[in-house]
Amino acid sequence: MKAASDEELIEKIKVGDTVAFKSIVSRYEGRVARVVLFIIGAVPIAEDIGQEVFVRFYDSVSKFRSNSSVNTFLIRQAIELSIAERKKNKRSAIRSITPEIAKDKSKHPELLDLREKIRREFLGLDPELQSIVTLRLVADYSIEVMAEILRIPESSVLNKLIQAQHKIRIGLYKKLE
Amino acid sequence: MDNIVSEAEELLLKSWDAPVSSAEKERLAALLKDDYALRKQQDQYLKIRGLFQQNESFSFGPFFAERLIHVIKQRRENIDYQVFSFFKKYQLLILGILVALLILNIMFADNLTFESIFGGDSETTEDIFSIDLYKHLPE
Repeated sequence: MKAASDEELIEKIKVGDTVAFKSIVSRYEGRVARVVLFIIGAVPIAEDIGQEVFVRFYDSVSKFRSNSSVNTFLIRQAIELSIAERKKNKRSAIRSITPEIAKDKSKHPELLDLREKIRREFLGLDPELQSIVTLRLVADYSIEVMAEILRIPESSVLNKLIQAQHKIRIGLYKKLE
Repeated sequence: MDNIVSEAEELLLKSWDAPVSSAEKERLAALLKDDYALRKQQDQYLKIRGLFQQNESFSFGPFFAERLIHVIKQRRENIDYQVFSFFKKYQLLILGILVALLILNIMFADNLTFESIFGGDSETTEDIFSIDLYKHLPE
């Protein structure tokens, strides 16, 4: 059976269909979680942020036009809320992306350590550069879609992405060398 | 110096995220062939990008959707309760104001009929016009 499109589900949510809302949540939970967990780590507040992302969607669903992208809306909210949370708790320790990473450290300790080091460099970037790296390298969006999400020209997205990767590399390998 | 991205490095990074012309591709291939430092940078970037792009599945745990719907319902109930408790908190005050208004209305009413107290008096526009227009006409 063909899965309902986002537009069809939105129309159902508008009339109070919770099953349709659940379908949207299960369709996008993974993408939202990927962004949130990457930016703030596996902390209890991560789920609260995830919930807030979907609550905002639910609250504004009546204003949703058929040409609006659910994906764009949710990812924008996830980035905004996660970066705001990082700013609020700047001093808190940087947590692993998933608790499993800490457990599995014995398997590939070097690789996992490197991953956490990369994430530390990433978290030292400006929020705008963090958003750009998250969208491109974590959530795998094209430059075109990123420009739409961030509401900036494609050329700026590309330049900022180059800058961000350069900063991460310099920060990381300077410390390693 | 560290903050400046070289032209070759920029081209290398651009080639992974945006379309590059065939001339740019050839130039990049030539640069990579001749420049050991650029090849080293390429390895470092690939390692960084690879670790960002790991294909793990992420979730907020089992039954996330159910917990979310519960949160939404709870928030709605809270809003309803706040509206209810506002009226409950001020119910005596609201009742007092209504009684005071009723007393004032009775005190200033022309006659003590139900219609005049509760505003049920019916005056046609003709009645009003007759008062306004003809009341002060010279006789």
